[in-house]
Amino acid sequence: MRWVVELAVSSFILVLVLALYNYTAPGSLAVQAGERGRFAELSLFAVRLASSPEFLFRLWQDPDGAVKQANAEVKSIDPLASVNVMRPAGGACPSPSAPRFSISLATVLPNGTTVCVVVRA
Amino acid sequence: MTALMIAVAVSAVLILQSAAASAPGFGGVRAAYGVFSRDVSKAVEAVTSYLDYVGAVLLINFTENTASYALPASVYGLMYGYGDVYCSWRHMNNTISMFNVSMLFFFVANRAPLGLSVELPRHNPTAQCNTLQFTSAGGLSRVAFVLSPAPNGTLKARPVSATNFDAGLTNPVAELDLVLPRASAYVCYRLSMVMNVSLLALMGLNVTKEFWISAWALHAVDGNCPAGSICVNITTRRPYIWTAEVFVLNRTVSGYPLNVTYALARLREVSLVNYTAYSAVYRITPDGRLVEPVVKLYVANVPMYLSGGRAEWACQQSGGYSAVVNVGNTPIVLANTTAVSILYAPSAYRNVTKATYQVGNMLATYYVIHRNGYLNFTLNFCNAPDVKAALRNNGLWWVYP
Repeated sequence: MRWVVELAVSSFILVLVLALYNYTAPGSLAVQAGERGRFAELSLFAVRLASSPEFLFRLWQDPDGAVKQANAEVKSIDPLASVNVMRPAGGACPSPSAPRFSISLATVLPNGTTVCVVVRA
Repeated sequence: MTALMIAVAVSAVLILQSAAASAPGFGGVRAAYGVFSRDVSKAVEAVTSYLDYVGAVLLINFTENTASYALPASVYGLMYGYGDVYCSWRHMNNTISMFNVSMLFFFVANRAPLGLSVELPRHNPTAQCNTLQFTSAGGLSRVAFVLSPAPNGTLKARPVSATNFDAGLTNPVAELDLVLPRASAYVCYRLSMVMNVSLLALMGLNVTKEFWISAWALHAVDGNCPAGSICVNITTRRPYIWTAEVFVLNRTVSGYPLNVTYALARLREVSLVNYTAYSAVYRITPDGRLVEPVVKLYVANVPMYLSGGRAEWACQQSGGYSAVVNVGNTPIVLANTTAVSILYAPSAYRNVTKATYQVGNMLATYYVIHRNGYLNFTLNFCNAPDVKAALRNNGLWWVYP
């Protein structure tokens, strides 16, 4: 009977290792779900920036300070993410290329200047 | 056998847990409804906060443009009711174009990333141009901004010609700034937008935001507001979430040719006398004496103008002549667009600025009687039951107060 116990324990360890590997591999469901969650939070952060009166008034009065503050805050969602404010091109906000994630939202400053809020990671 | 069962159970738990990882929109095992409703509330939150922003920005534009450009056109409003000229003057056009930019750019350029499609409201002129109204073609989206009363002014409008008359002296005026508010003011926005959010399969989502502020100035009402200081009572639609900032504009005359402009008055104290969740009373004590003061309030970023002095005038007669005398502490403004024969020779005026503005292809002339000033007439109007009506019958319109 001893070989049965040996087999059971070794297969348990094998399954455990496989499961743990599966859980942490870059292509795994869990890691992808985590990425999706971060991207959802980043896009929500971008939408909030583009529609927040406080941010837009500050961006109008003190552009550098507002962008710096937004960058500090976006780092708490994803340490590799960054926020930029750009000029629209041809009446639209093109999404700049980024290795993982990029969103560009159109918004208007209190003086009527159109800008794009870009969040990328 | 037990070990095998444990192994199977553990790996099952691990696999299920990874599939049910908490990611928005990652439905599978979690209840899709929870994720969905959370996304809807986030979308509504973002859109409502943008509508609040547009409301505040539009009220800023509307108030400042009216104080900057509206006065030259307002005499046409007086003469012909709120006619075409006033309602299509620069203060209205600037504000309407700001609205169009802020709505079009946000809702059209963001259509793809936000999955929004809205019925964009267009300007829908009203008879009284202190209300700006926008409605969409389907009538679902409605937006309105109210300034009551509009603070007519000339802060950025430059006169064609301007002269100051002071007891026989005639001085050219390079710059004349006027803001003519009332003792009370009310501003309001209400934005109601109907939209479809395709990413969330939402149809006909109606997002409405409304905010109003009313303010009035009080002079010498009780011990908290003694003579010599100005009290301002502010009431808003929403509790607590607003801040107020107070400035006082003071009349200054400097340079040659004269600059008849405003400067920020030095204030000895701005203190909160009383407050509730929805209202506050501020006491403003100036440092020194103010001339034709105008209170500029910022409540929740929205500027409002209030008259900071008492408006009082008297009719002074001597024989067949008469004069309007400014005995208060706000300017008195009269205007004409056609020749007026009742005015006495300018050498008799005291502390009067005459400014002519171009309105379209017409000219409008304003007589601004400053504090302690007087404007003389060749007829005696003082016994008329209504002095203002008597002047109007002779082509001179009483604009302010």
